[in-house]
Amino acid sequence: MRQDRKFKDMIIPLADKLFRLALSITGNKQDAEDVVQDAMLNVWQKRNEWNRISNLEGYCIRSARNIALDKISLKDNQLGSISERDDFHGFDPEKAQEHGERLEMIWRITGHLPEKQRTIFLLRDMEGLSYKEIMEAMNIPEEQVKVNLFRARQKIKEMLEAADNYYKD
Amino acid sequence: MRELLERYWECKTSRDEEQKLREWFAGNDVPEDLKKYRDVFRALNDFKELKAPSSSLFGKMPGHLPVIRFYPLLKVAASILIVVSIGIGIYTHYQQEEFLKEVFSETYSDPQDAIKETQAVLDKISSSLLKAKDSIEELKEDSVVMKDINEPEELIIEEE
Repeated sequence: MRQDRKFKDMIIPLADKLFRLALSITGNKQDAEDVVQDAMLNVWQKRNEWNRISNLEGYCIRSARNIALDKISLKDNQLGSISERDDFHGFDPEKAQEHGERLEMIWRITGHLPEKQRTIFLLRDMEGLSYKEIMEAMNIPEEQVKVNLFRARQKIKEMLEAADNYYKD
Repeated sequence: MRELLERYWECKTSRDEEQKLREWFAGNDVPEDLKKYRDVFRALNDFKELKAPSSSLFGKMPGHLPVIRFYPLLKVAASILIVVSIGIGIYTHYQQEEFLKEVFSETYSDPQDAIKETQAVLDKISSSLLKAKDSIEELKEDSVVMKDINEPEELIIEEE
């Protein structure tokens, strides 16, 4: 298959997925668009190496995530949660409003998680990726994927129960 | 579903089971005590509806890189080149035909006239050749005279 055809058939359809991932990290539509463009361009420029990449989708996701993290200057996953960073400049409530309730809603539920947990949670529970695919996309061992997903789900469960109790009281 | 939900929180569900949960929570049959978990599944479903704006795809996208955009231009250039080449070929062929026609065409209707004209041309050439011959004869004579003049001097030098 020619590379431009392969790009059209296999990489372009990932744009929505990459956009959602970028949006969940940057919290900003414009930044997310830039991330998708840069990630796609990056993948295209590496087209001579595609044969050596076992999982192109995972490679694209990893590339987009790294670019998104660079964009918000958050190399350290542990600093990726809103609750730990008052100056979390990626999240712009006005932009979120513009983009509808969806972003606001997902942020309300996952915004308190560290970036790594949040991304793994979204890749699994929203995009439906397997543990192996997430492992390749995140470049971490499968065990770490499971641990991070477990923690993310537990924190979300606790947060939802706490909110419910709060409204009951 | 309750049991499935418990296994979900413990990360013991398959992807298919998780999909079932999302679909179930999207419906209206969720018991009151489980509604507190509904938001997460709805938020995931809603967020998944988001699409990348087309503007994010058609800025620096490889689909628009020169290598791909170049092909239509290349086709146009090739077509122009072919048309121009054919034009030049036809024009050159036509010019050649005209030239040959001019050279080999008959310009005299009466053969006698043609003979007379040819005779005149041959006479002209002949007289020119005779003139040239006379000039050569003159030059030869001059050179003999020059030789005669030079030779005694050489002899004198030898004698010395």
